[in-house]
Amino acid sequence: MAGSGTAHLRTTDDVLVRVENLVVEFPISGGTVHAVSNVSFDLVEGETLGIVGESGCGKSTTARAAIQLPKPTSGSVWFKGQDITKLSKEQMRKVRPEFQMIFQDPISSLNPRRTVNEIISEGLRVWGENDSWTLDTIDELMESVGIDPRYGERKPHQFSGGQCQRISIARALVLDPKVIICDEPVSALDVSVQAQILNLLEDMKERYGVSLMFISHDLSVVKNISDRVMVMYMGKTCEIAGSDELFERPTHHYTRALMAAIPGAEVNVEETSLAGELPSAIDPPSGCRFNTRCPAATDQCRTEEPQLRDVGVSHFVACHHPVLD
Amino acid sequence: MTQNMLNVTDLRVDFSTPSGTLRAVDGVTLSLAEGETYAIVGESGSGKSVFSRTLINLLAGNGTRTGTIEIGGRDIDTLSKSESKHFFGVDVAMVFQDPMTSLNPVKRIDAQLTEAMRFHLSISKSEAKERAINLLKQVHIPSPEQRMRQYPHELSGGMRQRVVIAMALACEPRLLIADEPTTALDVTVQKSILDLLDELRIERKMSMILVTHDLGVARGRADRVGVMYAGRLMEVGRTEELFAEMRHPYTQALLQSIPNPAQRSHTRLQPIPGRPPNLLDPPTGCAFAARCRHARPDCLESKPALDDDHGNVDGHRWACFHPVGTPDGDAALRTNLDAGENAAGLSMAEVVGELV
Amino acid sequence: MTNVAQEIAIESQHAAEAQAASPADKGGGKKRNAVFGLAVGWLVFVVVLVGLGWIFGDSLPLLRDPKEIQTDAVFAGPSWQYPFGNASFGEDIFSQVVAGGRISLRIAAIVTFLGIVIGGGMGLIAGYYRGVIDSLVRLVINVTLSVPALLLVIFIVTIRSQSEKWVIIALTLLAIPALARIVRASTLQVADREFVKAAEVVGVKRSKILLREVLPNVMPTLISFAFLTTGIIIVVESTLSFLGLSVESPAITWGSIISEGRNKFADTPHMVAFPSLVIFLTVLSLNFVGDQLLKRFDIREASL
Repeated sequence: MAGSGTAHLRTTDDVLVRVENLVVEFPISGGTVHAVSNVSFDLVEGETLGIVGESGCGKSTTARAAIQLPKPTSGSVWFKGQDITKLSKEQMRKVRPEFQMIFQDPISSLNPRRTVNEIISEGLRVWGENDSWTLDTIDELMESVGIDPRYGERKPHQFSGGQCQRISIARALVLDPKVIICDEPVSALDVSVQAQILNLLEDMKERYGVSLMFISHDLSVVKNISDRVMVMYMGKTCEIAGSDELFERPTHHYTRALMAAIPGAEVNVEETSLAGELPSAIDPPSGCRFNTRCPAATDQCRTEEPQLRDVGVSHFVACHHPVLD
Repeated sequence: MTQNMLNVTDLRVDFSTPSGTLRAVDGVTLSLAEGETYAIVGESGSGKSVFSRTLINLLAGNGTRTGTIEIGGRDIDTLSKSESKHFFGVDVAMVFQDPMTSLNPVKRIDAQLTEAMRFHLSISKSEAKERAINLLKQVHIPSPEQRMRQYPHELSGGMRQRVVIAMALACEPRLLIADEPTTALDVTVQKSILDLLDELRIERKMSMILVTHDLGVARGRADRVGVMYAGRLMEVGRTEELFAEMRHPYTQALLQSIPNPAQRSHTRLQPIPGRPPNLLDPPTGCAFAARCRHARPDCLESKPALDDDHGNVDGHRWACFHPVGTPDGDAALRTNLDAGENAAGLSMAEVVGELV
Repeated sequence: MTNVAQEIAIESQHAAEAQAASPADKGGGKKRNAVFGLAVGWLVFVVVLVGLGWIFGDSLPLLRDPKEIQTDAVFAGPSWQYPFGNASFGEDIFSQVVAGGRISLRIAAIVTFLGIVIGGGMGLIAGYYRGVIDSLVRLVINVTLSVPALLLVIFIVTIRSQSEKWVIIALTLLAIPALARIVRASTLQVADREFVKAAEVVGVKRSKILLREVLPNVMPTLISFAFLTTGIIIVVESTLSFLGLSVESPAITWGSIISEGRNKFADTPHMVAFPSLVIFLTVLSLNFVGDQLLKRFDIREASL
């Protein structure tokens, strides 16, 4: 599983963001945590890229490192012709309006002492008004995300989780960004509210022309909202393909295990239970990081790290023995 | 017919809060046969957790209950104080959602496992230790002797949950209540834990109540399913039957609002408009009426009962006046669509800007 | 929160939303509110009385020159004329307490203020910017807190002088690390919350984030601990005074009154009892108010 490589990166004109060989490591007592190791991906304009994996796979860290929060240990992130990892703190700050973010916990991502109006319009007060939004049109923005502007003077704790997430979306949209990173935005919400927020994100994407990076551990959610999906494990990329393609032809053993594990779903994968436990991120397995749990692991897998290679229409997998039919 | 493992009759649970009385469980009746798994499905506020905790006698101080609960033929209200000490945790046991808070972080695993056993079974320390190691083996924890000496934080989430399961099984219960046992876990770990529960259940001929918000989990693991909303059972029945022919609009709405991996990407989801009712001031009539596409005026006046006279298979029952897939229900839906709103004034269009 | 608590909390929230009021723990509150009122009342009373005494001196009823000798009432117990009794030369203890409050309260207020500004500031910057600054601040805190507090203060006051200025400096040196540590801990917590990250994502400057996002959320903790600190300083100052190490006579402080009455405690307990009572009630009220403020702010945040 987990592998490296940049074979899957696209070179068309509409590539918005290109992340190459991203590495995030941080020292702790007892060693270095290899959170993200040589992950590459790109985002085309108008696309939703889903990044899926279980805890410890580094999906959140990857997305945050891409916007230098914090700066990655190494790697490059190309946006509008420049590598933003090379920018100074202040220069990067000026790029920030292009990359906005929505967080997992809807309520704690809003300052409890500020009113909703203040929270949403914060961006405008920092950067000035832009082509899409002014301080006068904030109400319109609130309406389009489904918040009644009459409640604008209230504080976050007076709203439900779903409403808070809408407020977050409005805050992200106000800066007219090119990319919105959604870090597990529906994981903390009730099932029926999830659907509302997912629909809202699709609508906002269409209406305002943003591209999304959608991070989640929930495969079903990711499939629904993404155009393209990247599966991660222990800081590495396993497989990347179009949503439907990935689900119809999962070739990586980890992807297949994830799909088989979806409770009660009718997926065309035979039942495989993963052996063992997640290895330590301080001392990850050599070769393919998934080899300790993979039902098809061979000696090659234990020594040689697989690189991402082409196995179909825009479908890449990092595996020595992918399931191809 | 073999005796039922669990018989709950008209259970009602109220909480007295500063803002008034909150009815969390509003007349739940169900039975569980021996060796059966019954899934209770509901979202937050449905009352499913209160229900499961009431079964194991974990009612909060400000809660009161009416109705009867019979476990293994015994009415728990008739248990004497000394009997109940060795009933809950022994005849019926519980597995909680968050393994980090259900394990004592400052106690080693062996202490936590042996504690309950020694209290309930009056066995020696060494015997308890032996049993504990065996239990860890049964829940497939590798190197159990080593793990015994470890603290909870040294184990992964999945392993901790296995320990919690081992603890629950320590005194050989006949009924296991699992309250969202896998919600806090990764999906592959979820699968292995649910597999484990299935395996143990069959091995020990245990019955299980599985409380979950995940319809998929219910579908994949339960013999029978009960869908709860606002403290009441809305639809119950055998799993295959219920999913093949769902009758209650809430069950249907719930299923339609969840992304289904079998569908193509970007399939539009159908959120459930509105919000759950205020249990401090519940509506007269059906609790779901305000959000229901089938709601007609009679739904606002009285609560439909979960009755049994639909001539259906194997106990599939629903509490609805205008169920899905019936001529009556179709007519109700048609009328509402034509009017543009349901009897409670809810717009029938899918509203994007819905305030919830 | 447990599932049960979650379910109830959601209902309470819905009910509260309908009233556009914020959810608050009102259970058992009536009693607590009454005591809170009493505590605040006492503090206001003391401050006002001492203040008035300062401005108007003996022209107020019941107050007289604290140094005034009443030879006929030496060591007398409480009476209508002298509510707290009389001291070794017949001085009115009540007036002494009111006068003594000036210094005791002034010192406590100034020390707390300096503690908040300097200590709080240190804690805030250390907790938010981390890195070298944080290590430095932590070092300072740990070193200062390792030195036995009372000895440190006694040392300073002995080396320098027993003027109010040096007493204040000595006590401030005590207050700063204590407050810095508390504020740092609170800042670390707040800075970790996602709305702070969100502000960074929006592109707000870090210094602005510190002032507009972090500080307002640390403020409640800061304020409640300020109250608690004031109480501690009063006790410490009184102890010093009792030991004869605070502001020297002829200045009067609460501790000095107690000190004077110490020898005669068995026969004339009122000399020690009344000032002690005043100190006790004041510090108790400060502690209670600080504690309640902490609870109230915590509840607001906990309900999120």
